[in-house]
Amino acid sequence: MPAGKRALASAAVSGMIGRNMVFAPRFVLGLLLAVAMLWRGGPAAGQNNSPSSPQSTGPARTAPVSSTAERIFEAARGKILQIRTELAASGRQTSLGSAFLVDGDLAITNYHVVSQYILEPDLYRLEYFTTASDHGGLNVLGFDIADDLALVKIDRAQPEHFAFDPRKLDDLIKGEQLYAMGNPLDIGFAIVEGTYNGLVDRSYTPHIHFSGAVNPGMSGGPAVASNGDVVGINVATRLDGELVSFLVPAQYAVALLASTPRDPPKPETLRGELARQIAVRQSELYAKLETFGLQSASFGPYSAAESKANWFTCWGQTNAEQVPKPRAMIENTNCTSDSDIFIANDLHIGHLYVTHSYIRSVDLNPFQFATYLATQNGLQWPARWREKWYTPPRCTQDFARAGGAGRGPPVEAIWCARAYKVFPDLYDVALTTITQDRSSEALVSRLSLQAVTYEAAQKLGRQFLEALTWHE
Amino acid sequence: MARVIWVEILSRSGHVVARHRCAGPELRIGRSYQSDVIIDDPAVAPDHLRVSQGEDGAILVAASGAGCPFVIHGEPRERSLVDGDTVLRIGHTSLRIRDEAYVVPAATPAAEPRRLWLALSALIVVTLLINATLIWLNQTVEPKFSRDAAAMAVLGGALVAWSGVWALISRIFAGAARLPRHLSIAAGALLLYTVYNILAEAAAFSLSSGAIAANFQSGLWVLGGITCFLHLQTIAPSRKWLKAGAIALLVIGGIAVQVAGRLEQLKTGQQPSIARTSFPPAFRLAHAKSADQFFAAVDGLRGKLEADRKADGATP
Repeated sequence: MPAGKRALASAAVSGMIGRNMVFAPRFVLGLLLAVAMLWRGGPAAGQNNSPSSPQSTGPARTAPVSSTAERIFEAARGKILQIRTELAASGRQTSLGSAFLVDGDLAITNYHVVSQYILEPDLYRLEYFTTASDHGGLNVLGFDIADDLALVKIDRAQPEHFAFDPRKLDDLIKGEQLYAMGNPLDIGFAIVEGTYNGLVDRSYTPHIHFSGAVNPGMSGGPAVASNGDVVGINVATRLDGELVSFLVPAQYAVALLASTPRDPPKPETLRGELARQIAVRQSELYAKLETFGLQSASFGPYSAAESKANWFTCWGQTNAEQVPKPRAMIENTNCTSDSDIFIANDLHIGHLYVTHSYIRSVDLNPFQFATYLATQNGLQWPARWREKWYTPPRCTQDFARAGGAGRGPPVEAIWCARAYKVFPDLYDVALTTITQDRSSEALVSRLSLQAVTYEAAQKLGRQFLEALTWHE
Repeated sequence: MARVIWVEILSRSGHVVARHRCAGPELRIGRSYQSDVIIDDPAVAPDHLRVSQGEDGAILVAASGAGCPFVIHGEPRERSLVDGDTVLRIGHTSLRIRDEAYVVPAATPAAEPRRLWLALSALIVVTLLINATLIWLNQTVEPKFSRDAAAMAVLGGALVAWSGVWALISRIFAGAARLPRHLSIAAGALLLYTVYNILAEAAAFSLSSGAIAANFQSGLWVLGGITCFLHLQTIAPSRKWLKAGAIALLVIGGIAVQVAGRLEQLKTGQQPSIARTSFPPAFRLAHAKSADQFFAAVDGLRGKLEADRKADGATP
């Protein structure tokens, strides 16, 4: 799933649907249940409401299926598929998802459903299964990494396929019934009734907020209106919410269908296409970030930069209520962007962080305050380092003068970067600045950019540094 | 009139472990009970050495028979004149032969025990006070006497334990514990360690130098090596260069392992060493650079990252 969904709430955890069934459904169920319990504060709530709990997936959890749903599922029976990614050598399944036919032998699914094959075509192969248990091989014709979609071609044409809803999203009304289909948890094809709730606010990637129980294994399946036309494609769900699921708007699938050649590309070229699409998508992301520009926010005697982009969500936090009373007060502002995209099971890219911590001594002497500051100035990477994807990080640090034309406070600036091994010209960058003008208060600011070109990172980093000023 | 001859049995470190008073001018040394000096060493012959003193006072040592030579300065000998400082080895036993005319050095003034202990106590108090001050300066949470006292107790305990171990080794191998001397070395080393640590951290911050932050621990290895050398010298002053060489090798080995470990950590994504802000802004010595200068350094990092990427050899 686009991990950006996590950014919608500070304590959010979200899960991709359609993956990891190979790692034993019990494990997935246990994990989801544990996460649900964790965020809900008690096992009772978790057991009753976890999306994956067997007890909770019954009638108490999902609204009774209407006659419309019966009609829709009956009509969709020959048009929905299950996609399995299997080990090429042994044929064992490693992940599962869903898909739906859009033309004789063409089907739409999520990129993340077929990502293992795209990244490692020698290790994996793809297979589809129909509701009648027919199965066969398939090829990936193309994909849209930004919208998490893929177009696949199955080995024999089917008589029926879905049509896309011609309405614009603006024409859909909040509360309209939608029906998501797929094969949840590999227990059989199913239909889920839910409601359309508009586009997700503060998300860089447009996603439909679907209030319905979309579960792992349904990724790539269609979500249709009551007339059976596809409105969106199941893509993600949030584990910290109740029936909060997400759909990719159908218009992106229509665009992918229209722009993709019908001849299957050589599997070994898919990874190059992936790198190309990532570069384009990230270039657009950072260009838009620059277009939105920065706005100034005040932190005690300092002013520092925040992005004006509307896909950032900012949260504040303070330690003022701690007992015993802290000896230095911290006011944190964490702004995170909902702009990441799925690349692989262990790699999402596109996350951006801007955080500021204003720290003020209560009764610490200058040495104690400096020690306290040393515990607060760690770097913040947008994602965990993995040898598979990143080169080792490298850093440079120095005292620098912040503010435009050096009129700001002196800061200790630490710039660390790591390169993506397989995506040329893309880097993760973490910039931390700590003001060095006062001995009893300071502003620690962090900028974290994921999958950015070095030029764009330097430009944004310079803007970030120059926006840091003080009130004399 | 025959002079008295003294035969001194020495430990490996050169200390006298036994002293035998013999009537000259001739005496026999060996394992048998017919010897004047009996040595319980299976590698010594029953009648191993004969010692005789001439009219002029010169002492001649001769092997009693074939196959039982003695060794002086690593060379086997059958006969040799020796003076009071010559160390002979027979079997596994070292010995020294002196007559009553041997002139001992003048007495060195004995340190007054009370003054020595006072100096040592002052050194320990200063060291612990500096460390207590550091604990206080690093105190960023609610002060708790028991926690700080425990930290000081641990520090003091470590100091005593370290010195105690060396004193025990000294007692075993040199026959004397010399605890005050070992305690002085340990307290002095702790003081130096503390001061060095403060200065290195201050330098790393003041100059905003990640290189100092990454490498200052090498100095701690050197300091540790010097401390161990002083302890060893206190146990026995002999073989100074051998000890110095062995400790130097250990220090170099320690630094090499540490550097290798850090490089391996860097390769596995660990954070490169960064000088943390742990001093007030007044300690800043380096001039604050302009944004242009800072980003020139940032730009310089790119080449290294590209080299890392190429070295990995991964392709899209």
